[in-house]
Amino acid sequence: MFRSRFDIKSQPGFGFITLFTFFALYLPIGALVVYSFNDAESLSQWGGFSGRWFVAAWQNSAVQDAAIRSLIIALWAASLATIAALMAALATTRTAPYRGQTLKYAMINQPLMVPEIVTAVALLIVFSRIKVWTGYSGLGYLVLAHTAFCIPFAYLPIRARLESMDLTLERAAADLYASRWQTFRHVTLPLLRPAVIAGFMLAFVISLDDVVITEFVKSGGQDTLPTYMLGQLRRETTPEINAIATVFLALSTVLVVIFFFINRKKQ
Amino acid sequence: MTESRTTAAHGGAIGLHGIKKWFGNFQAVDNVTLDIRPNEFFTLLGPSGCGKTTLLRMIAGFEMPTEGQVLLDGADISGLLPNQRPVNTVFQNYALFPHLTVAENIGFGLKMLGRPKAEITSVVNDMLKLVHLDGRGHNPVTQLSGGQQQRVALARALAPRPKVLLLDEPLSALDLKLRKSMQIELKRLQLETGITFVFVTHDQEEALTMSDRIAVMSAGTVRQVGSPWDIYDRPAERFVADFIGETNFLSADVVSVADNRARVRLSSGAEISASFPADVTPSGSVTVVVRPEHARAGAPTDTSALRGVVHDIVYLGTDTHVHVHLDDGSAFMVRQQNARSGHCGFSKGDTVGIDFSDDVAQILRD
Repeated sequence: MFRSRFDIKSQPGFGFITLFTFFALYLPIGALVVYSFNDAESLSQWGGFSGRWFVAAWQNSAVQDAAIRSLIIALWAASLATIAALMAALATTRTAPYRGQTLKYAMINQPLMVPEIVTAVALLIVFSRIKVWTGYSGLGYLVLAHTAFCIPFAYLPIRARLESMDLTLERAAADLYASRWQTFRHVTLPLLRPAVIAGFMLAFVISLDDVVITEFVKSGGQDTLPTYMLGQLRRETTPEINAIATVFLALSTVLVVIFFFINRKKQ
Repeated sequence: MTESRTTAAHGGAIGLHGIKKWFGNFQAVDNVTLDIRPNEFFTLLGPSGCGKTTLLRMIAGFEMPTEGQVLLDGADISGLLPNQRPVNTVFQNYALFPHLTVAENIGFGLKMLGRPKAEITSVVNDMLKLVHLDGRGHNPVTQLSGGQQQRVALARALAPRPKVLLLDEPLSALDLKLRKSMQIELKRLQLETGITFVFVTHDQEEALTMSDRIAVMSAGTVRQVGSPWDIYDRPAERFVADFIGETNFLSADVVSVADNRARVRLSSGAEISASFPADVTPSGSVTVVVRPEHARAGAPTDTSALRGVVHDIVYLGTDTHVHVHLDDGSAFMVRQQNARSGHCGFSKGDTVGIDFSDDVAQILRD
């Protein structure tokens, strides 16, 4: 096949940099996956192939608890964040430009810019007060905290889609006797669906992955999977946490693949 | 109300009374008053930025007039939302719903009105037949050609049987041949459905072909309203004469006025008879227009209305344009239909006389 001299693939060092990047990105992950099948007790000493750490993790009630808690929090937080983000995106794209619009964008995306540790400490202080006043100490605090930092991740894809959407479609719906709600229900929302799903999945993964804020906000016995794994590092560590991480990896890969196919079918 | 607006067998009348529209500091529409009659094919014609689309949007309800009223069959609808007006629009880019099939697009309006499924299905089938898309109901609209999408957009807007159909330059995206056949198609649909059509275009030929009446617009104002014949043959002012077709402008002096005709003296000294707009009494020096196809060039005689020298000859297939420099220095064009021989009978540099019959000249309002 003919290849231009200016094609980036013929630049010197292209092959080397490509290989280096691939190794830098995927070698640690590959090692993690390989060692999750390690039969030995050690994290770094290979002792033959085995799936026993997967079984061990599966049967560990602390892991089960933490996993279920993570999923519950992520489902709630991602759902609430997606709804809030959808409303925010509609409010910031379906109006004429006004003063203070940039400030509003900045406020919605604030969790992306404020260091996580600051938010974590702030929430710790506020929530401990509220816990004293109300006596409630359930998962609500974690859901609320996760919802807050998930909103920008759900907001960005939805807003991008809304901005590229043809406004005359909504006009046409209104012209054809659709009320505002009917227009949203029958035209805007179906066209937004891929972006809403993308936003939800991003928010879900971000929530599932969070350590810093969760560590500060959680009450005793409210470990999520990441904080549980962090806790394990302080004690004797076994390839069990590799196994958990590998399952995480597999789950997120499956999510991305599903999303890819949903989107492709739409087009 | 819902019942009457969608089963109406005849088109509605639109009244625009003293409409003004400001966008910030820009005045898009300046005091427009128009009455569009029931069952009429009415065209708003003008260059881009003249306010014609803004007017259409105010009838649809997408824009609110800053001042003035929009009336439908005499009732003020200025305050109603688009979905409360028995008026549908065919958009310039069609605005078909890409996630719905052809049939779902056409049935959208009736579905929003809460009509029973059986009724929607039968109306959609009728509409598919009306626009020659039978059997295409289950296709996704994204797989249709431009011309087919255009017809879906029409069917979708006609399905709820609006009192008035608004068309916003719907043919501008089509190629010439398709555009010509859609012009005939639109006229047929308008006659068959009896719905009032309000059509927006910048294409004068489109306007002349289809319209019962035309409003020529410029800079937010209506310059002239009339039948295609009125607009073309009896333009009231320079903008209208210039915008529609090609025209010769001649300066002349009014000699006498009797009834609705005036005698004017051209710069050549010849006197001709000319008509004038009903609302003026011409006097002093005026501008007279003569269409190129209404003039004849020939050997100069003592009675020729104008004399000049042939400056250029342009062959156009059906016609030949003969460009003449008149003795007073101005330019004049004669359009001759070509005969089989293929030669117009002149050469560059020939001196010619130009004549026209008495009823073709028109005096413009100042």
